[in-house]
Amino acid sequence: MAQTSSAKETRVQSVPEIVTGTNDALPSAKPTYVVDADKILSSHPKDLWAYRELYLLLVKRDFVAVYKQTVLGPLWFFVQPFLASLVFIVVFSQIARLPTTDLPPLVYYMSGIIVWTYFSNSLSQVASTFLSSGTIFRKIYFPRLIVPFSQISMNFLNFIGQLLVLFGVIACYKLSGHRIELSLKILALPLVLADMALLALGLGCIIAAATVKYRDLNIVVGYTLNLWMYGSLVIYPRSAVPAHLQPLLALNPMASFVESFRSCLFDTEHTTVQPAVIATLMTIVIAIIGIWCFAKAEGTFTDSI
Amino acid sequence: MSVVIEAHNISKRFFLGERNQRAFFEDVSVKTIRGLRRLARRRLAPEQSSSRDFWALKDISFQISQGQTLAIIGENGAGKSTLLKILSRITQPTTGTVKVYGRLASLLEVGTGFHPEFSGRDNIFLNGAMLGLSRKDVRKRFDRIVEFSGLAKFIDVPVKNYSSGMYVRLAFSVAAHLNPEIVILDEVLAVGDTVFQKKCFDRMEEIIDEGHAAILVSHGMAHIRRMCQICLWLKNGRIKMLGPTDEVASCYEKATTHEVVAHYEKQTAEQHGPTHPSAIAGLVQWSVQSKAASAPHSIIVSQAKVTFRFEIELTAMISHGKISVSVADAQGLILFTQQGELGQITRGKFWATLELPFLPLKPGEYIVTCTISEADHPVAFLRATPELTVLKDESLAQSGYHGVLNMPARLSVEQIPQA
Repeated sequence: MAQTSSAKETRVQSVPEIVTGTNDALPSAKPTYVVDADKILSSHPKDLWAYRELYLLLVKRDFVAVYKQTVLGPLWFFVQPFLASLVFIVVFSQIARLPTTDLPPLVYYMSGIIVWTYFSNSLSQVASTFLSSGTIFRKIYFPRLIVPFSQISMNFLNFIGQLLVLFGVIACYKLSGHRIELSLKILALPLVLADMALLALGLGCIIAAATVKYRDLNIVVGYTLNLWMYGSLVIYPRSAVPAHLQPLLALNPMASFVESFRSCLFDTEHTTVQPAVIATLMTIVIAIIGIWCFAKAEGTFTDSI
Repeated sequence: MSVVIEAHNISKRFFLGERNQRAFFEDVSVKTIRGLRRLARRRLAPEQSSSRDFWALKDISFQISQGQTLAIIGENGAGKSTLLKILSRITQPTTGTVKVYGRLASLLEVGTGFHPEFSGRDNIFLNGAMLGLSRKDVRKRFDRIVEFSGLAKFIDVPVKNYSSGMYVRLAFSVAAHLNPEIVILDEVLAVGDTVFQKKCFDRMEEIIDEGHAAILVSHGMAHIRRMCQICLWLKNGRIKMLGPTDEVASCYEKATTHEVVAHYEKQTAEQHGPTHPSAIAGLVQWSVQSKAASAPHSIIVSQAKVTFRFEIELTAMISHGKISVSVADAQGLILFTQQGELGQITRGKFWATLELPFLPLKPGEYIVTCTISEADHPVAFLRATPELTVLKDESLAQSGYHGVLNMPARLSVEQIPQA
């Protein structure tokens, strides 16, 4: 419409010079912010810190919002890994007879499932940041990365809850005379969890940036994550993988993280330091690329979504 | 006075059309070729513009200094919202730079980011945080926000149970208490019932007064004239005019008047059959007679006695004719209409004279039209050109022109003696 009306544009006789007020020189002070066509629009890390209260409120919002309208409330997050573990026990342990190291199958599967849920939920939520928060992003400015951070944090809180349930299960096994040794390596657990968060953030940001242009990706994420789980040592240990497929495992950082997570909790015999270091390096590279892509997408996503 | 917002050469391009397979392969191939060329260190040709491109903004430059208020006007689709989004860091320009000095708050919409499951109280904190306030700041303003919204009774109820009116009231109340240094306001913010709307406008004026600088997007020319010193008129993404509000606003009103008239004429023609109504009659000339007239078609406002004279030529005979003269404002709102009998009238010219003891219109542009009807069916629609221009009466001390009319009234004050 705007284009057609230009034909009959009315002429204005006098177009005055640009009025700039009474200033003569630009202030020497640094601008509070600059929007430039050639620079990434993303916010300075300092801004992220300034908006830390928003981050906390968003975590709270998402956490509370999930349970507000459900009957069982937070119980859901405890029921889910149980049910999934039971199915895995029947299918993979009873029917397919896959080994679960020395651990009881329930503990083995449950530990894998909760840590995988933490990763995959974080990743898929980060990946849909621009779709889920698009309406807000289009009207209010705040550092966009706040949203992925808060999403990962919320999943972390859920994970902690599920981890406590796992400890409960372990306690039950111990009381019934099972031999499960918790290891001192548990102190390295935060590192493994941080690694996973970083990988979810990095990959999620790459996908989020790409969904801005190509919506299809958002559909792909869901089932790719489902398939990915089968290659990530959630269901079977590394020792069950035939030699000719071992190099493929090395390409999957999640395989190493899930394995590290278990070996941090339980002193399983194999040390997995070397694959973990490689996976961490991969993760750092992916995270850097991801944040860069995300920052680049911030400036233009409103144009296409 | 120092610059607070400096916009230099801003342009914004949008891609029209779908993101389909073809677009994807085009994208990939173009990018690959550019990438390879870059690797080969060849000089890159500027990116080609395709037919799918649409320039929402083109070469916009302006500055705002401390203490200034800028109005942005223009039709729908002129690029106003895009410009605001660029200024407030929501989207990136395709070319150009914006520098902002000071804490800027832009209120493009109220209530985005509210969560329906949360209470009004929680949403005040959440929304405040999104708009850049710390929890301490919100707590300090909390009482004022609640009081302004008038929702104290419902503040602990989830907002999903609010009526839509309550919802926007709460949202505006948060937005209205940010106290930024630079503020960007979209007039659509004024919401709710009439009383609350008035409160919104008053608060907006306060915000503008408190802050160092402001940008206001509005269609209400009265507000713009009152609140803004400078005015930017956007048309099709380009600056049509930039200057003192009075000048720009009157040019804009003049232009929209033309468009409203053109639209009205077209509509009338469509309504009244294929025969062009003006074929039956034509306005040869019209004149305005007034003691104080300074130019042929301008008159002095207020108590001036005015006579409009229309010379009309009929090309067909009319048996039960009526004539009416109406005066409409620049937006096309008819202010008054006067009807007269024509009776039976033959082909040829005649005079129609409309006498007004005084014309209580405020300064501005007005559309004067003559309608001739046959048996209550309009047959000719005649627009008086040039438009009627009402000027300020310099001899009267008139402080401001709020509202539509400028009545020759007097307001006196007398103290009541104490008993």
